Amino acid sequence: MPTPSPQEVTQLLAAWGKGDRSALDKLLPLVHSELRRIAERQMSQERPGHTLQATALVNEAYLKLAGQQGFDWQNRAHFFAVCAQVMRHILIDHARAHARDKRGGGAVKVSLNDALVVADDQASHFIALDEALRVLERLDPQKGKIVELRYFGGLSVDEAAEVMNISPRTVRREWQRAKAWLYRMMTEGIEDETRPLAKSR
Amino acid sequence: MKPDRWRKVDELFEAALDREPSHRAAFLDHACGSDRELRREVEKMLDIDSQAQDFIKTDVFDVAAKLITQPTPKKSIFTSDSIDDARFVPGDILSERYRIIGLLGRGGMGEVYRADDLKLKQPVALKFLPASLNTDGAALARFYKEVSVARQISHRHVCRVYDVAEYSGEHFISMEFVRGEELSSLLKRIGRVPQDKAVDVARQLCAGLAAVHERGVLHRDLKPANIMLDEHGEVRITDFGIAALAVEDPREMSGTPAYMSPEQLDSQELTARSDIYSLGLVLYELFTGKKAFAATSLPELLRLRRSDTTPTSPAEHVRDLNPLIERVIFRCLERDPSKRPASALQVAAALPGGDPLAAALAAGETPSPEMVAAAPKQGALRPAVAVSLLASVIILFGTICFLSRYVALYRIVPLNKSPEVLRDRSAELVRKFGVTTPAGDSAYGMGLDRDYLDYIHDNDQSPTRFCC
Repeated sequence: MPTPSPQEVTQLLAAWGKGDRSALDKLLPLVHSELRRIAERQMSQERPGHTLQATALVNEAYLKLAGQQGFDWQNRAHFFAVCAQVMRHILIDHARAHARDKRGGGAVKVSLNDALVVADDQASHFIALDEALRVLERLDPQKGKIVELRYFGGLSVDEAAEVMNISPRTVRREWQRAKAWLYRMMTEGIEDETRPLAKSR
Repeated sequence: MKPDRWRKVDELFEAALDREPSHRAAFLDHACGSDRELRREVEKMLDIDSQAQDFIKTDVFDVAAKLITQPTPKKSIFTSDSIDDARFVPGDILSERYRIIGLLGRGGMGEVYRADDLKLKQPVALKFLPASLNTDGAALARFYKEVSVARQISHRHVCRVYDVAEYSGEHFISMEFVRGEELSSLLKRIGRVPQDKAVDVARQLCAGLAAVHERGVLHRDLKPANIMLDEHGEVRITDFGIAALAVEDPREMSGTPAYMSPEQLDSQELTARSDIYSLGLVLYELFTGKKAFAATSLPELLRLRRSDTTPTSPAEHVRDLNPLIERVIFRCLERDPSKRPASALQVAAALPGGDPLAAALAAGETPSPEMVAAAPKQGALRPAVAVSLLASVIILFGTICFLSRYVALYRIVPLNKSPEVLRDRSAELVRKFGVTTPAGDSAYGMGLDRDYLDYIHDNDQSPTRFCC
């Protein structure tokens, strides 16, 4: 796929902001490869163990893709949201692949009192978190978005507030409760009544 | 929780957080009124809030950024990182007997190595105990007991356990090295197994599991990763009974939740029928290539398994699936153990073309009494049917004898002289005709004169036509 022009990217972002799902589908691979390119370059220049600055990475990707016209505030916010989704996809895909490999290895030990997956098993932690987040997103899209931006997008409270166009205080309060709900879903299992369970016979 | 209920709890949760902890109880008294359930929910959230704040760290972006720079890892057990931190390296010699060839993998138990038995010049697999068990006397005692039973099991579809040994305080089992592939990786590679082959695999699996059960050993962790297909496509069940050893903490369960029976998930007592349940899940996957309970996370899996959800019908995944297979799988997956097949051999017998007895005899094995008992009673009659058939045959005979009195011609038209008298008369006639040599033998009988009978048939229809 040829890299679309900055105008096209800006249009896609605007279209997604208006609720066009297909625009997001076009944006995701684009943003993915751009993020990857930048991250790769940064990692190769830095000493090992260096922590990437999420905002710097996303900003650079945004300037690269949306160019000079990218100073439209709304579009920049959408771009952050797209990046958070890309990061989430990457993490969960890797975690699933990892968990699949692990499963082949043998018994997984689970503590029944505390259904939270054993601490060192980061992959299953990601997967369980993603699962809980999906349910939270259905119950409360705003909390879901905040978690996605903060957790997967690496944004600070203030940055998330800017992107979502709400006050930092609201972000902080919603973030606090979102964490409690996610914690509960992950420790108790999810009673998701927002959609039918697996098919019953 | 229903969405509107959830919103209500969340609102009160938020409002309560805004208040000083000391004022919260009074606030909830007022806000929840008589809805005790609502109050309980909000209190629970407040309680969780105090411990939940650190559980999500926001440094995952860093992890993601590192991942983004790598292609999707195709991790295998042979990747360098698992070799790097293995306890033994190729060439190490343990207990003056086993030379390590390489790390095969890591199970829930511990590391598994491929090694050469230098004494018997055979390849073996060495399975190590988790480090924590090496100092736990009770667990070690269980381990030795389990191995002593397991090594008595000799069956072509069960991986042989040879011995236990110790090397610098670490215990390990030596067992048959099976050159082949785990069923789990086969399924991952090819999806479902074609029906003919799957029936064959299923039958071998049943035979192996039956042999394990026959010794009073439960597998406790039957799953595709514990089933090997060797280079000839023969099934070998591995790791039986050993999962039980991993239980260090009574609150923990061993085994793989995805393949556990409901009673195992509830930490209740296990029987052979618990393994049958796991067998049902394995068969489901074998025939359909899909997991019976598909979940992407552990909490979801546990929730799914604890609910009354039944798996999707296998026939929905595989259109031309033999209905017998679907029936036997669902019987294995009954929640109530007493409704499941009583033995693995019964499962085999219920498979299409399922006569394990014939299969065993054809393979040159001596079938066990259990196998004979479980075999379908092909060609034999149920006692009730046999007795009634015999009775009808006897009655039929009686009827024929009785009726012959009225039907047989020689009964209707009796001879006016006895056969002996007639015989003497004919001997006399023969002499008169000049044959003087005494008869060496004699025979007599009755013949029908067809022409005469035809004549009577044409000319005389009276009921007394045969009477003299």
